Amino acid sequence: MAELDALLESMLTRTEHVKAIMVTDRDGVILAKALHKDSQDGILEPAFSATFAVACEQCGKLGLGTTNSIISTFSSTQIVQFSHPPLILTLLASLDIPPGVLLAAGKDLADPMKMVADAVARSTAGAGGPAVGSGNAVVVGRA
Amino acid sequence: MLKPKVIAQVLSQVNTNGIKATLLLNPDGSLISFAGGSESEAKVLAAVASNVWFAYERHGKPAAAAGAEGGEAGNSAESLQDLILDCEAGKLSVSRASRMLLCLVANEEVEWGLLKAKTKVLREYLEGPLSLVSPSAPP
Repeated sequence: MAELDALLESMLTRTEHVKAIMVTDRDGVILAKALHKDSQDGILEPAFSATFAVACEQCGKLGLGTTNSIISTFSSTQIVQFSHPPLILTLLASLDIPPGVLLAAGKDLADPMKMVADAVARSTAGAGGPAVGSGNAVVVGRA
Repeated sequence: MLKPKVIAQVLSQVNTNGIKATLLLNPDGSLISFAGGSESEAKVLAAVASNVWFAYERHGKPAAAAGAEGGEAGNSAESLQDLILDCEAGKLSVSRASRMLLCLVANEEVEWGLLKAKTKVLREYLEGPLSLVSPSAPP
């Protein structure tokens, strides 16, 4: 997980105006995060990741298939969330950055995210219960 | 006075180049008018769009406010402007027009930039007349 933390940190420093990058499970439990030094704790709102999971479920009812990403724009902040079942990648940035840059950043993180998601899914299936956030070790292999 | 027939005609103008349906709905998810697709599909879409919008507005506000410059979690000044859901078989754009919600459904080939631009243009066009019908400020 330290490698993932470092990867998110490097993405955060590389991309201007990004305030936070988080990897959570569907319940909002944080696996890895990188926060801008000026960011506040409220940025890590767990209910928000859970809302993404609910929205994905709801969209399934519309016959549009599985949800890949959701872009939400607020008055001065934009949030892009990517689905990597069973994990969610969240990027939070100010409106100064074009959302296309956030989408590109999310795509850059797709491969490492897939590896972590697969490891978490295996670990969860092997333990026969929820593994994320319960202290079980998750081994991230190198490509 | 709202004229549903005229609203439907306005909504249908954006149903080009991959936009399959356009809906105008009340905040509670009840349909006001729609263009494209069947009525039953439109009703389901309206209910889901409203549900997702208010879930994001409620749970996204604290995170967005904390991310704002000098912001504070729970800052009520931060409000949801628009929402785009990118799914495997299509895209969904939801935005607020006055007190109502505007929803565009597109196929997967439509670029989200175009979807966002169409939503913005339609929202700006409808906002004036709709604010005369329901002038209250958004919550």
